[in-house]
Amino acid sequence: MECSRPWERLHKNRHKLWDISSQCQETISNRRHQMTLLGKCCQQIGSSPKNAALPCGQNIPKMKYSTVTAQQKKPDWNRAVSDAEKIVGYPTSYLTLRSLFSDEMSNIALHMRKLVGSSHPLLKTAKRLIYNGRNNMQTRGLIVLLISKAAGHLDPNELEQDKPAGVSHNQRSLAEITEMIHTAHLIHKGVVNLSPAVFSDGTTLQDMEFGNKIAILSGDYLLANACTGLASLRNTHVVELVSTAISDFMEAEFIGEFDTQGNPMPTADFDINFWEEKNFKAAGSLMAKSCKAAVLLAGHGEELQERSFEFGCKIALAWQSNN
Amino acid sequence: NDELRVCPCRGGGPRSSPSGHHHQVRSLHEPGRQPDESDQTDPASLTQDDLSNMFSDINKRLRSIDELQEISKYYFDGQGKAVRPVITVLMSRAINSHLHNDHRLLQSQQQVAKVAEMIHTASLVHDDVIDAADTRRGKPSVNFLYGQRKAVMAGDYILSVASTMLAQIRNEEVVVVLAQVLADLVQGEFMQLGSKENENERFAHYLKKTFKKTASLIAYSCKAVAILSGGDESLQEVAFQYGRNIGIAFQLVDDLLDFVASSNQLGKPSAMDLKLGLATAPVLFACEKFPELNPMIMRRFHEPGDVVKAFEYVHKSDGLQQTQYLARQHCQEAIRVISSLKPSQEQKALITITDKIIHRLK
Repeated sequence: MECSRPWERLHKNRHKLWDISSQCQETISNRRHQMTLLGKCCQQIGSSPKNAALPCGQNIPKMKYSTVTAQQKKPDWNRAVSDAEKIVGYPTSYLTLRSLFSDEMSNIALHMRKLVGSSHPLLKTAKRLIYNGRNNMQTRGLIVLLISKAAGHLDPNELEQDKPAGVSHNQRSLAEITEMIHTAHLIHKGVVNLSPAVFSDGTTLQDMEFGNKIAILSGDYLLANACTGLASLRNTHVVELVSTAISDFMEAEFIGEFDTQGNPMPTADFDINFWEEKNFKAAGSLMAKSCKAAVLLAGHGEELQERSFEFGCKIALAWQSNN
Repeated sequence: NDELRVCPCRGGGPRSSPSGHHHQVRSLHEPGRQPDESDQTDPASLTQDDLSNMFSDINKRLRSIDELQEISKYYFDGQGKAVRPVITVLMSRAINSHLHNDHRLLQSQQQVAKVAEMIHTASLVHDDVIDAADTRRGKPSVNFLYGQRKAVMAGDYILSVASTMLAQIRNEEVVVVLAQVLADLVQGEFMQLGSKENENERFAHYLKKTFKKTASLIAYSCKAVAILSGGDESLQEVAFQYGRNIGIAFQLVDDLLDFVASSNQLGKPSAMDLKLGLATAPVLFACEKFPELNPMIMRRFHEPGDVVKAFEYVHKSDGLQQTQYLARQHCQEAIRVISSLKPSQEQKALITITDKIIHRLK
């Protein structure tokens, strides 16, 4: 049966997806939480009516977790990511880098040199982006690609050439866009509040002002690119989904209390619901909506869209509980 | 600041009755001139109701968490010039009249006007942080009141809501057209960061930057409403060229006014562009007579005395006259293209607008 293959693939990849989200130094209780979350979403995906034949829906194999130390976990992470990348046939570490090789960005790079030696957060973000490409910073795009491939395409007559490794051009574009938006958000979060009281030294204030300028422009550039990319997908529902995701994580920045530098502070009524609400908006929404959009692009119906949405949401929350 | 506040009401609450409540939105800087109710082609009076509906809609869409809502709605109090929505609405009605003999505004076209204004405002919010501006439209800027971080987030939020509204029009072509504006706005800012070594390249660079930063939004909004009305490519081009020429003329006049004291202003003209290190049309024209401006341009007027000297040179040269002449030419071109539409009230109003732009100089 053609339609059961995508689910088989997802079933096989489940371990890789598990590996990805389990790479962290965390307390056992959080890992239990993760396991339950991931187990639930696999169960949901596995129990789709399309593949009643698969065993995945009935039993969640016991996830063995060991108390392996942080150092031993690192190679697993990289292997998990590279295996996943082979499945989708795309080196996702370069997803955002491609947009970096443009006139505007080389302009920015020139200006960034002036920031070297200052303590503007933008430098740290830029370094992470360029030198740590294989880390989890690019994993959102990878998840979008994986779920695109797992969901498969409805029309079996569509030429295989159009879909190298089972993922359409539009879906790849969407994965890139997701990464761009996430990066833009990180960059904008690095903007620093400039009250003279904090930066009394003239030169530091100038550095910070300049750093802010570059941060705003580069974030805006990535967002604008994401928007033109979205427009070219020729699907206004996808544009709507992703735009509302951006609204969500902007709103998240205003939930709760903050210090003068915009760092979040715990409040008196902090509880698990507050955490979930805030983090759904901050992290879950983009992932969830991108996953939903990815299967929407392949023409799948509401049910699969909803499941992808939930999958993206749970995996993002699982991630976030590790941070 | 000669921004006249005709209406004492502030804030963006929904208006109970657009016609009963005389909220007169000024379409352009017109010190002392009230929109003439009896003038059938007055842009402001023709679009008055549409605009007040628009602003109340925008404020409804920006409902959110307390502080974010406060910040996002801050500039949508109807006190801005609202040039872009006026032009968009007039163009919509003019094209609808031309194509269908029906000058009613489509819901989708009104949505484009709202989206355009939101994109413009979002870019203003970011620009103010970049330029470290303390005031905007006669009141403290958002970054001054809430800090840089929140200003940037609020700008992004406004943009995301605008983008959602754009998608909800359900027209893929329109989404492509307006998304291009976003890319142009950012590119325009980047172009401003860099400067060209070659004097010959400089003017072309300035015009290109002016298109991207100012004219692009107006031009593409006009094109978008033409698409929604069912216009073919040549009609879309008419709309686009009108918007483009008007936008460039508008910016040229703005750049000129930076050097000239308007009769309403107390004290000196701001010369803000020079202080920000920007070489605009008057300066670029003045270079012909005063080549000593060239090194000053390269160092972005950073040395002490540069701003004052450059200011003097501009006034001693014919830079201002040349700028005015160029603005007039663009207005003529705008009139020429829009005249290819069937005559209507709105079409005449669009012509009146070109007149108003030039008259800002008096």
